[in-house]
Amino acid sequence: MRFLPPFALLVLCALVGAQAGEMSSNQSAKEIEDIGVIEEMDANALGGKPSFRSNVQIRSEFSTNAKQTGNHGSGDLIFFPQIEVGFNTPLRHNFAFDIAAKVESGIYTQEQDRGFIGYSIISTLDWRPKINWPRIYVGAEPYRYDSFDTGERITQAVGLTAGTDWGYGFNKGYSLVFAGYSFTNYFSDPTSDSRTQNRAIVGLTHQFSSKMVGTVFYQFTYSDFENVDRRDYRHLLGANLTYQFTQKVFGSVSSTFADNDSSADFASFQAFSLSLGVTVQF
Amino acid sequence: MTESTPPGNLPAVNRFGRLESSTQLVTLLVTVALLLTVALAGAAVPFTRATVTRTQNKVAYGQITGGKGKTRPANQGDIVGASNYVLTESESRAELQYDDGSVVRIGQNTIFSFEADSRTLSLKEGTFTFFVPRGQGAGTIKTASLTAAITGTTGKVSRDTIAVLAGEVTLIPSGRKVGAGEFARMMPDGRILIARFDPARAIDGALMAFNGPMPGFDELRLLPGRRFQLAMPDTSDFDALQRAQNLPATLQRTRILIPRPPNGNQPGPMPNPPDPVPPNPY
Repeated sequence: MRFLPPFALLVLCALVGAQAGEMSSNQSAKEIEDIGVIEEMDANALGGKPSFRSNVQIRSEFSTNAKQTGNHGSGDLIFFPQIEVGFNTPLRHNFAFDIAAKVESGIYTQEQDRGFIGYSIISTLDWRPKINWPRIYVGAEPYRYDSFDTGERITQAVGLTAGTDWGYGFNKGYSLVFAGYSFTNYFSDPTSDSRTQNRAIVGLTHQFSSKMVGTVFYQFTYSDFENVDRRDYRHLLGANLTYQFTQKVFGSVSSTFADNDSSADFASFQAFSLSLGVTVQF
Repeated sequence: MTESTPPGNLPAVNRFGRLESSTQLVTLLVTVALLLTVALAGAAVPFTRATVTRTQNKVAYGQITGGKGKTRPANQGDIVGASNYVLTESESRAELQYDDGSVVRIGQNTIFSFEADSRTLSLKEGTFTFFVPRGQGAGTIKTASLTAAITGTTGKVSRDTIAVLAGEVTLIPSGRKVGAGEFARMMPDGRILIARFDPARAIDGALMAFNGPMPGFDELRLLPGRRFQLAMPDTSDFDALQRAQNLPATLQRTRILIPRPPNGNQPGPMPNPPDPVPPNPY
């Protein structure tokens, strides 16, 4: 399977976005001084001020191939508790920087010796040239996973990512249809895990009320391993509902179905997940 | 002598009687509705006059007589009549308060006037913010390019824009509604754009804090959405299982193999005990 080089896609998206943007404000400086800027809200914007966030989430996922033997009868229910803290700040010239540290764990109901704990730090530099234009970003993510049972390191890697996404708001800005693409190269230890990954996502987000937002999405991920003869194709279908309890506290419930098809049969599996999360943002 | 009605006429009389009753009922309802309307209209306090409650720098009011405008400086406590207009210069602002509790804050370089009976607030140049309390009767906002009916509304107005902070306005003549958190703007091509503005910026503008907080603006009603903008989902959570359980290094380490078929057709049992050095499944 071949994908467009990331750079070509970024240029393509930027050109499409350039035509889609709509200038809605021609306010004078004095008007702005007296009544502020009144312009169409950027449906993609993350907010105009630096913000911290912390997130606690528990996800339960049923995997059909927990033993990784190619036997899809070896299903298991896995719990993924997760804690994340993050910081986001806008920068000059429409750049923004986001960094998040995450600790997550996998607790198996039956195959308990497979339990693991993972650590990762994701840093992302965003750039959106103008309102309603596509977001272009680069990111770096070092991660490490250790076995609960033996304490040994399972794998570690640094992923370098370039990507773009673009959302088009409609329905007076209450709905957003979005699409995105990213390319990641994972430099892993052991090197057998090194791989390139192409991801494409499409979805729809709708604000049902001033406090509730729902999202449905589909993501396709193609992974090509550099040092072993293996290619993975993952289809992820998800739905999410987020509710704002207070100005700073959000709750979310999500459900996903993942179909991981691999050229190595024993690495194929399907998984269904349900998650609950609480985010505090300040 | 008792007057009797022929039995054969009874249905006709009754039918006529029912019709008459229906007509009377409709007439009664219409009359009541009209009376209520008149009563409510009577309850609406006309914008006959407004008191100047604060001025900043050069503010004047006056009226046009014989094609010429005659103005005098406005001071706190002055009464401005419906036949007057209010003028502000650069870095000058004013606040007017009406008998029904309505408040208008006039920005710099503004020409503003109002009409008594129709309760119309008119803007020829510049900006103003307004608060019309609920239950005090309807009114109208008029600018060079937009006209809107208001009832219990707080908002910001410029020549081509009406932004609603609380309540709702109805554009005239289209009847399109503009709700809290939205604005209507006459675009250069003659189209009227109705869109959401960034609620986090609703409080922006010198008039919002001129002579205290803008009355009628319930910040919490609008601002809970300030960080609740539509965004794309974070799917990185779904990588954990793939990374910790399903990458080549893990599969090698856990010695999970596809057993070689003993006769070349059927898979054999799992090796027991496992090989001291697990062969590479790839």
